[in-house]
Amino acid sequence: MRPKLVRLGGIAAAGMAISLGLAACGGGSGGGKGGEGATELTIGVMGDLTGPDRALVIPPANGAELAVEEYNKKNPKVKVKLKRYDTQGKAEQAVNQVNQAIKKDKIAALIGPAFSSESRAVNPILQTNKIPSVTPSATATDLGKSGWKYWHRVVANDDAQGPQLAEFVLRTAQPKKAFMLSDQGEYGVGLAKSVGDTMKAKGVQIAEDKVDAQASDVSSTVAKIKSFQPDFIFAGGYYSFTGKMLKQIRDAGITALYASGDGSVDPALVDAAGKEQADNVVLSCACKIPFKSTATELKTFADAYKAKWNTDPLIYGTEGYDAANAILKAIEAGATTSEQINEKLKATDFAGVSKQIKFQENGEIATSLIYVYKVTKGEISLLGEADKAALQ
Amino acid sequence: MFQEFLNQFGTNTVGGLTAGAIYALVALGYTMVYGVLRLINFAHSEIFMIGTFAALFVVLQFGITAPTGLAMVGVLVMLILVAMAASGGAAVLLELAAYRPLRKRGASRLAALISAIGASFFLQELFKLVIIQPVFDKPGGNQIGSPRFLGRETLFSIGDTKVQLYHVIIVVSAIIMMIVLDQTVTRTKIGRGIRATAQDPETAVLMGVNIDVIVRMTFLLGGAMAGVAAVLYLGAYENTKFDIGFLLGVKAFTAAVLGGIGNLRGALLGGFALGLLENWGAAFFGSTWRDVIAFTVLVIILMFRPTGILGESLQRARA
Amino acid sequence: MLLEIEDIHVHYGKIAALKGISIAVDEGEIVTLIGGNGAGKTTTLKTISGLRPLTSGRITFAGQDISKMPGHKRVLAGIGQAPEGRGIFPGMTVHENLLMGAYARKGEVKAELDEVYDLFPRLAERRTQAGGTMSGGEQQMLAIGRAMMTKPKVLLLDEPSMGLAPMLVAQIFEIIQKINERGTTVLLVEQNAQQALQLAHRAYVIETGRVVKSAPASDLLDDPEVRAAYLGGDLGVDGDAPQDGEPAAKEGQVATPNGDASTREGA
Repeated sequence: MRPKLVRLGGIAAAGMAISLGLAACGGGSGGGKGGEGATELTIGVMGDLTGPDRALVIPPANGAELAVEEYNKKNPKVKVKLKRYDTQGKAEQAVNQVNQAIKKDKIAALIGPAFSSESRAVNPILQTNKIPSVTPSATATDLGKSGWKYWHRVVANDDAQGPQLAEFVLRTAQPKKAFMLSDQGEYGVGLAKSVGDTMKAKGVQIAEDKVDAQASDVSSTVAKIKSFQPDFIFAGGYYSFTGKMLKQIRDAGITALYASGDGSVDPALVDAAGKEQADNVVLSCACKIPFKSTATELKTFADAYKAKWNTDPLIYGTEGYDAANAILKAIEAGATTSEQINEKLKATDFAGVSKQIKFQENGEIATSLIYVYKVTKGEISLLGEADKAALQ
Repeated sequence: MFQEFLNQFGTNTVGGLTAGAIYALVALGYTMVYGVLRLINFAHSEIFMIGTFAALFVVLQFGITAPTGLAMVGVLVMLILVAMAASGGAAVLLELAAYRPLRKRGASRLAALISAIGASFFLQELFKLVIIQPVFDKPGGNQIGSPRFLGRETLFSIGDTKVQLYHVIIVVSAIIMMIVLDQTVTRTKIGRGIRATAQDPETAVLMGVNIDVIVRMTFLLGGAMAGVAAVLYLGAYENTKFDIGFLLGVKAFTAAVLGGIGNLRGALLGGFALGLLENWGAAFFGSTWRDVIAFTVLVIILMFRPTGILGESLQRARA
Repeated sequence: MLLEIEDIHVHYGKIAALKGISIAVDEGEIVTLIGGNGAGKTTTLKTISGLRPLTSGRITFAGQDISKMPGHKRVLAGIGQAPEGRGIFPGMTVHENLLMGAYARKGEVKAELDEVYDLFPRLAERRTQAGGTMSGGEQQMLAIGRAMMTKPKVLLLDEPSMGLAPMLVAQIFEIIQKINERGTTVLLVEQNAQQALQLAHRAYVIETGRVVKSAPASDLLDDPEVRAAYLGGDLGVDGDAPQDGEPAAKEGQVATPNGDASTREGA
């Protein structure tokens, strides 16, 4: 079996290399791939646009499109066309799409892919073809350690969130007893562990429980929390789970500060929990969501976004906008080929809507900022950066 | 661990009975259809899901928020009637569309099972992709919250254990519905027809029983009970989702098997037993083990009593 | 003719069970179908009751074509059946089982109940017992009594003697006779050809889905072929005949089943 598999793998790899090589050679004349004197470049935005997790991808795609529109309005020398590539959240679909983007559409740069799994499949292909990418939302830590020369991201990675949220709560609420609750998924469990470990190291007494996210009756977990009498509860998981837990915890008369991570930063959390119950809640995210913020840059962006898309910018909306702008600024500064764009990205340094956009050598964002949000009576608002914000 | 178990025993018992009451009502639908057709109606979980959305629709449409006293009873009765109609009607349509054509053609039970699974997915996707967004103005894949309609007042306390109004309403409603159904099956003519068909369908025809009518009535009654369960569920947990029925359906089916599939009283017993086992087990070993414990107990009981606690009584003994 | 079956074919899947059977039953008659295992006797009864669909052919009952009528409606039309294996609802009491017989009918059932309890005093004693816990003989009585509750114009009986002790068989046959005398037409399927032929007016012999003989019952008793095939030849009489000392003797009165038989045989 084994030699055969290896051989097959070799053939497949060779085939891929040939096809990609052809693709790379084919981009000569005035297409998106650029070249001196090009007047229009195509850039792509890639992610799950129609699949189950489209809610995480449509805001950044829309943000990127807003950025491109604003850029083109300035009548630049080189215009930019944005093309959307739908992966439905599947890595193999992402590979198909990126090959098409490179061969047929000859993209000069890519915003995305949105998810880490897609990124692992797509980034090596981009690397081979020397096409730069900026992802607004793929947060897996390992992506930054792959040695890709054309890869960038404008959000902090997963290592940053748990400790920063824990530090924020320790600083602002000084809990003595903390309950770590999570669903049974990798994401929720990992985040709860990270928050719990940070707090434990600071002498906070920790208890924990893991609940099936699909379970309707969680009264035994609520009973457990109640008997532990924590002054802080962290819930790892996505909003439907964390919202449901929040509701039952509040209904049981437990009023302790409740926190969750980026999987819960969504108004649907309030739908699941109820307006009354969604109170005294803190959420953390590497993303920066305006949520009716009055800060100038956020309000300007949110208003423009709403004017174009007729809805408020939600998760990763600002990051999509910033990722696009990083590429657009490179083009504005005279880059007309993928290589040149990549060079300029290395030197990028501007004030984005979400944060200062400046990349490290490995493509990671220079400062790993985590933002905290507060939910009061069902209203989500941005508190600010986790290491500075106060919990009113 | 044991101390913790004791501390939370009361609360877990109340929670277990509440969840168990809902399992039991849903289990009735599985048990009745199995009794009459020897078919595991996989789409029954979606019949339940439809009931939750029907009740939610009424709650939102009438802007019901936290009624008290008689108003709450009135709301509850109205919701139950609406959800019974919705779930019962959906169950009848399901039978007509997914099972009757197969039955008429004398298809195998495996074919019916596959059809059941297909119908289950169809109904989930139908709600997710077509119905929820326009009706509730929320993405179809979202969990949708319901305003409160069952009171949370503490009625009495036993030690640390608070028994709240909604706990009592749910358990009492479930038991009342169970008695009504039991009497319907035992005392009425249609009930005799159902029992006769369950015990010997061919002979039932020789008695002039119209099997099509009986099957329809069985789906209607089972569906209606799922509708009641749906209202109580929505009142207790205050949210629903297109796939809300899946896990609950598995649990309810387990309850039906635990009590003795085909046995109405067994469904009640199985529901309560499963609810309690789950909660006690979760307190003892942690919530991660909740399902493991419940299903281990199921396996053990079935090893020693393959027909469940009360046996297959819709066929064998008096229903 | 009360019941007329013309050239019916019935299939189980691709296998033909009935290959053109024609039978007629006149009002007031006892007609019996005899034949070996798998000959198609039970299928014929099931087809008359509507439990099996016709592939082709026609069934007329009381002047009406009922070939396409669903089974549950044939009961109301006047076709009652005590099925093979008795079909007692095990979880129902004797009384409930009897009430099932009146399931399709509207209105009072008291008169019929009284008549059945009069016909089978045994059932009256056991009215609250679960059907599934009764002895074979009692179950057979219940099955016939229940079929009578449908107020049939024709009563179809499928192997009423199966598995019963000889005295009980005699008792059952006596009751069939009584039912017939009270005005109900009877179509009887029996393996116990000897007794069936003694009871019936006319008989049909069925082999592999076809009628191979039809004649007055008494003629068939003398028919050498029939004797050889279904009456076990000369030996069969003795073999079939119940003997004294059978344990079932205490079941009730002892009829004289084979006194007649030997007489006819001798004739």
